[in-house]
Amino acid sequence: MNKIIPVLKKYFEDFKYVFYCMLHPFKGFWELKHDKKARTAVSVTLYVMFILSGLIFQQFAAYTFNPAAIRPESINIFTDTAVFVLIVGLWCYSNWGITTLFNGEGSVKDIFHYTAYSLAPYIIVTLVLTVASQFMSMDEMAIFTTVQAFGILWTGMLLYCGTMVTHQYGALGTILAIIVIFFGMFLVAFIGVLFFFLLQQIFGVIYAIYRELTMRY
Amino acid sequence: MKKIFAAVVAVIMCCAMGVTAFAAPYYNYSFHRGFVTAEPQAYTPYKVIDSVTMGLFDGTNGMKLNKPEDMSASPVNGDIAIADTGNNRIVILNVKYAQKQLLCQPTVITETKPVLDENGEHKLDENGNKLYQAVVTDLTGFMLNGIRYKVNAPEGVTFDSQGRLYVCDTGNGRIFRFVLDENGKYQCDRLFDKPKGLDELLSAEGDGSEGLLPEDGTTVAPETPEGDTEGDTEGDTEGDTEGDTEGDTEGDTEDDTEDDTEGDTEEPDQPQTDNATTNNQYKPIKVAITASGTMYVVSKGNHKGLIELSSDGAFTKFTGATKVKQTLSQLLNRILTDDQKKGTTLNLSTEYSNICLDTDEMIYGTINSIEGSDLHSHFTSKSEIGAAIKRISPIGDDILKRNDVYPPSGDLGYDITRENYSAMVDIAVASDGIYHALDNNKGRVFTYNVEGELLFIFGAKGNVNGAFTDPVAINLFPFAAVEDGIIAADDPEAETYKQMIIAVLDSSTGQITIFKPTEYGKLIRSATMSQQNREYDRAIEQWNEVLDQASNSRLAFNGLGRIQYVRGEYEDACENFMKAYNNVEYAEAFAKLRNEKLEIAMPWIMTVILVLVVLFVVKAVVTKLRHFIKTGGKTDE
Repeated sequence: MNKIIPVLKKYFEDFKYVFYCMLHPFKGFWELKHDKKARTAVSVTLYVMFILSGLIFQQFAAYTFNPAAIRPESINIFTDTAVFVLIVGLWCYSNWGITTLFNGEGSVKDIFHYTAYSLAPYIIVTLVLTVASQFMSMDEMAIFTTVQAFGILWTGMLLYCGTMVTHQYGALGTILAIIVIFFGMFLVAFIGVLFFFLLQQIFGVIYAIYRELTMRY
Repeated sequence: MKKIFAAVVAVIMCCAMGVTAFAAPYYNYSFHRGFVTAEPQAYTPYKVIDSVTMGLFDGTNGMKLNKPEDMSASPVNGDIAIADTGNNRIVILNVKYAQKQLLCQPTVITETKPVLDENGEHKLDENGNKLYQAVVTDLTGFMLNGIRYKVNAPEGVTFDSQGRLYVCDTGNGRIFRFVLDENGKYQCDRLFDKPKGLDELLSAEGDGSEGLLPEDGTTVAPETPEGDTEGDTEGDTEGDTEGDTEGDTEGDTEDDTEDDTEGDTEEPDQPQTDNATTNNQYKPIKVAITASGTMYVVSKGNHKGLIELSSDGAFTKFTGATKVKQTLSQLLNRILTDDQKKGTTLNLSTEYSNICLDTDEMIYGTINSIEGSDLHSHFTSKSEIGAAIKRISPIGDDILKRNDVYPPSGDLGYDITRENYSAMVDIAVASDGIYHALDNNKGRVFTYNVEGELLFIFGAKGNVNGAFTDPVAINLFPFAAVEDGIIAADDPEAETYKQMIIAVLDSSTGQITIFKPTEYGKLIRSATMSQQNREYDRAIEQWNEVLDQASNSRLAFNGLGRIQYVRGEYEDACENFMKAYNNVEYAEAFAKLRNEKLEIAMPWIMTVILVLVVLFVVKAVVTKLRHFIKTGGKTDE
């Protein structure tokens, strides 16, 4: 017990840095990388919370803002989780691939950390809205969507700053890099699907040959 | 012993089932937000009437119905008129579905007459035998003002509120009116010939330069001279009908006969020839008549909306045309040369397939020729262009209520494939505003209430009783229902149920199928009406009965929710709206519920906040005071 408490204390101390990054993106992300402020435990927690917040919203947000809630059979947390993981994974992978070619200075680890720290506003807004939606009616739809958009924009802004600081790009270069990263994500997804189908075909051919041979001999 | 008993029970049950109407060859369903739910049967086929039961064909003699296109029931005595298009005649049945009168039935009399020579004496051949010849007299048609008229491929029959029959002579481009005489037979009393100048207006769209309509979708009639007899070549019928301006029956016929005798002075004995022209742009297929005699005509291939004719048959205006989509190619059209324009497709307004009037004299129209993409956008965003059913006000606006999630346009498709959507060909409106639309594509009847909510669906395509091959017309048979014994005359709700008996005409088989409502159908109907009439206690009872039969009925949950909302029982209302997947009304009820709760909670919340503020202030003052006392009023320096 005595061992755990200081660990926890340190963990929460590290976690506070997430909020510092939210409010001071440039300095925050700089120190994240160069002063080794990033903690893998915190990043993993953020990723898990990102997935959980999405699922919690789907499951518990009020019916008014979440018509799918009435049909629980339409919600599949496994596919939803897979989609979240896939998007984040693709982003990190494509980010690393592209920025390496574009003389970016961030390592995979840096990318992993700054992406996690950037997701914080989205997580907070989603959780807050899940609670707030219980007290909101259709008339407050405008407030709801505004807050939601605010959270997404903030996360976008953090991602932009994080990319800029971590890879040492200029303002326009970052925009270009992000566009190329998105393109890379699609490319990877496309090649993945292609690979999958080709594998299926090859398997089919091998299986056909096997059948042919077993039938004949 | 047990086995015998079971067998007896089974036999009895089979017999009991056999006595009721035959089993419906379809399943009843409803759909909402992308999922289909099974529903109890609302209607069952009760009876099928074919040419034999009508008395038109006894196996060897007579003519079967051949591609009938329309059907109508008289609101006065329940007579049923069928436009037997393929045989160029009109069949009128009485209220017991038996043949009563045949208009324009082909009657050719062949007589053997002596051959007369120049002197009027019987001619003899070489052997001294008297010569005879066969004389063929064509008596097909009906007489009006001494002229024998025939109809050519009539596609529309309609009774007006006074029980007068209007027949659309589609092939000849004119409309006849028939009235009941004292013998109970229909006699032609009026001819509404093609209005002057209408052909030119209708063909004007063919030049390719403009498929666009004016903003309001109406076209005003061109100035036509009133008495246009001089212009006509042979002083024909057109002049006669337009000559009389009073819209009444008896006086007109007299006037007409006078006019006619003036017109044809040469041979008063011989019947005048019918100057029908078959090469018309104006091809009336359906007509609806208001109480004041105004006629709304659907003309085949007309993209300018409904043709409104005044009570004397003169063209007034086009009304109710659907606005056309503005597409990129139309912008392009502006810079094309005339030759290039000929190669482009026209962007035309959709044409109506059928119309009928409701009790408020609004026109209910069905539209069939809609593209799949338009229907798709209509279902996803309620766009105006893809609407398959419209309710048109006298000024030409569409005023149909579409308050449900999906608009009342039949089946919901998931893409732009036209075959997935309904092809509405006819519509029947009951006196309480509930309307039935007939889908020719899948052979289904869709019933909607005034709010545009789907009540039930029934019918199918097929060859068994109760299914259709090519359904073309739907009508309510309130008179036949009582006569047929479907409804007991002493039933307290007979008036309501009378409006529920539906008949569907199948063009390819020439059969009329009569449908009667099941208990479930009746229950939904009476619950809908109770709610509409604000008899809420009764409605709640009936909706609960509906839920006993169909525990997922969206209609029942919505109905209960609305009543509870009106009564201020917001919590129950929320629950019911949620069960009905009605998130819009749920949100309304929820807002009321929240405000109600806030009103109770607000004093407490405010008290707590006030107390906290006071405590905070007190604390601040106390620390200040303590500090002051400690330092003795001196500043820190």
